[in-house]
Amino acid sequence: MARFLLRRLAGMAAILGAASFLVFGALQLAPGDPATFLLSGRSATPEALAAIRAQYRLDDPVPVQYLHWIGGVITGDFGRSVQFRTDVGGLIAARVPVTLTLIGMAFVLTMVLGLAFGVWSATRPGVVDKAVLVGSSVAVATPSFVLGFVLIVVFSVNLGWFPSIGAGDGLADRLHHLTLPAVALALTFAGVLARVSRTAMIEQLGQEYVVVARGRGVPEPTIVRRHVLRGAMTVTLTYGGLLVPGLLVSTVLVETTFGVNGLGQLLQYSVTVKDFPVVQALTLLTVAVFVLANLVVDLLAPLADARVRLGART
Amino acid sequence: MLEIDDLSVRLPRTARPAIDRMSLTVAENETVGLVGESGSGKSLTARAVLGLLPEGTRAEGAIRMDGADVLSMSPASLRRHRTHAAAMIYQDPRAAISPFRRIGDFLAEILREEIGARAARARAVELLGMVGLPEPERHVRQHPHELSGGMLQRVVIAAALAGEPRLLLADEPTTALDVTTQAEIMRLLRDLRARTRTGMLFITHDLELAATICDRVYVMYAGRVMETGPTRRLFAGPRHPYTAGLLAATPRVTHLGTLPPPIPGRPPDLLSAPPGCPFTPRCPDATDSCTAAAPLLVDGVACVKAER
Repeated sequence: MARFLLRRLAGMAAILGAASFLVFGALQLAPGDPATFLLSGRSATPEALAAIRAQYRLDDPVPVQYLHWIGGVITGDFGRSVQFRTDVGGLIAARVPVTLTLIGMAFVLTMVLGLAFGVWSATRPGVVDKAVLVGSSVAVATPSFVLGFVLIVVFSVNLGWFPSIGAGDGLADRLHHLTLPAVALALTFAGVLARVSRTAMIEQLGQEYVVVARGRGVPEPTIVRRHVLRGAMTVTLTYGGLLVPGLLVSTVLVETTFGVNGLGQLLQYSVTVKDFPVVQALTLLTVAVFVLANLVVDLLAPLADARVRLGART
Repeated sequence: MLEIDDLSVRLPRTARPAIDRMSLTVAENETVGLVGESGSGKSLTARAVLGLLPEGTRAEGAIRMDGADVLSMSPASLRRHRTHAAAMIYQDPRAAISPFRRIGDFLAEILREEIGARAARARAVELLGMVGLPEPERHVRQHPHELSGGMLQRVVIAAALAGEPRLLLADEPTTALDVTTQAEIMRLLRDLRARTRTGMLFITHDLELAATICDRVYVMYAGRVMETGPTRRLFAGPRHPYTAGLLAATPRVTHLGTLPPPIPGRPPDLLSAPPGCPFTPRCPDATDSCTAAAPLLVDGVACVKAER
């Protein structure tokens, strides 16, 4: 267990290192200059421009800039935002609660809807199955921002049930504000999970031990719960590991659509204004979440299937 | 106790019934053998007794357990029938137990609702002791992959005993096991019968194995009973050419170095419906009258030759 963790943490450091390099390099290649954006609309003297460039070390050679940045990252200093003129760390920390709540709600929604429709589809061949397949295709194919606009029109503008903008204050108000964004965020992923879990559960329904359970007089709902759902747990767990970083990335679209001031909107804004330190930090954070989620999945895998051993290839 | 009366079962998209006008009885404390080649309808018979026929299957006739017809039972009484009246021991224990759950969960599964989780767990330990597993307390917490095939088959037998059924359906219970384990499992089945007085329908393709435990034997071919009678009489003087052929095809240690003669040809599949007696194409004694009409089971044998 300890060796497994050490090995995985070392691998994680390597992945983050490589990712930091790619992120930094990619932003250097992108057109546009942060200093110009900073002074947009104002006519600046060449001296003022040069002063800003010097302040943010934009004139240093790229490798030097990278080393300076990564050195800070290792000590927990992600640099200063060009646009907001504050610490990147503080900027991100202030927005984590909102985005975390949004992702949490969307995660629960995805799991509940995805598995419910997966079970429904797998256990009722025929019309129900076909309907769920078509419905999940539509869900998968609908971009979250399109769905977001539809939800705003129906539930905010026409019915007035939910607010259309902002993240709210206090727990109840926040959940109320984030309901529509969470639905918009979850639906695509729920559609994928419904299809993936349906396949896994149909495979379970064909297993001899399901027939045996039926032949022992185990009630059908119990069979679905104890055998079919249980057998599809490995697949669900793996999907859950991909779901967390997937949701984080999708918040860019959904938070922008719903005007939620979280990490996604921050990333979208920072890309637009070439606020490199913020973009770099957020991208690195996404990679870290991805790697961590996979580590958690691997740690939980033996619970889903007792035959799985930590660190072994099966 | 169990009474199968003129049962015909037709699977979807097949040309002939998989079970064709079969009648069979098992009394309390009696072990009845059902022998035949693969695909003769033995396992399907056992599944039919549990009311476990595949979707789209048409069944005629009656399967009565203590007078109640399994084929027309309500879902609730069918579940009761499956837990407390009849229980099956399966061929491949590794496929019959979910690899995801603990042994104790598997055993207690059908008891939890009736007697509660705690009592069901205690009963699971007791059942494992009954089938001769060395450390019941430990085994209930283990997963199937931690046990050997022979141990798992004991678990399957324990699970069959969980609801104290009056009838055990043993569907090739030792086919997946090696010879020494087979001997242990056969001994266990015999001891259990002596202790619990349950009736048993013992399904096998192995005539010699059937002879060691069964009081009576039914020989099945292509869904039909070809011959039936007390074990001793059936094996001493087979009257149906198929029974004789099966006995001759069984390898014996006393005939060192000689291979037994096989029955030529193959059993008919479900997509063809040969007229008359289904054994005719492979029968050494076949005459023209054999393809005219399928002979009925008269006096324990279904053969025109034997009727004469």
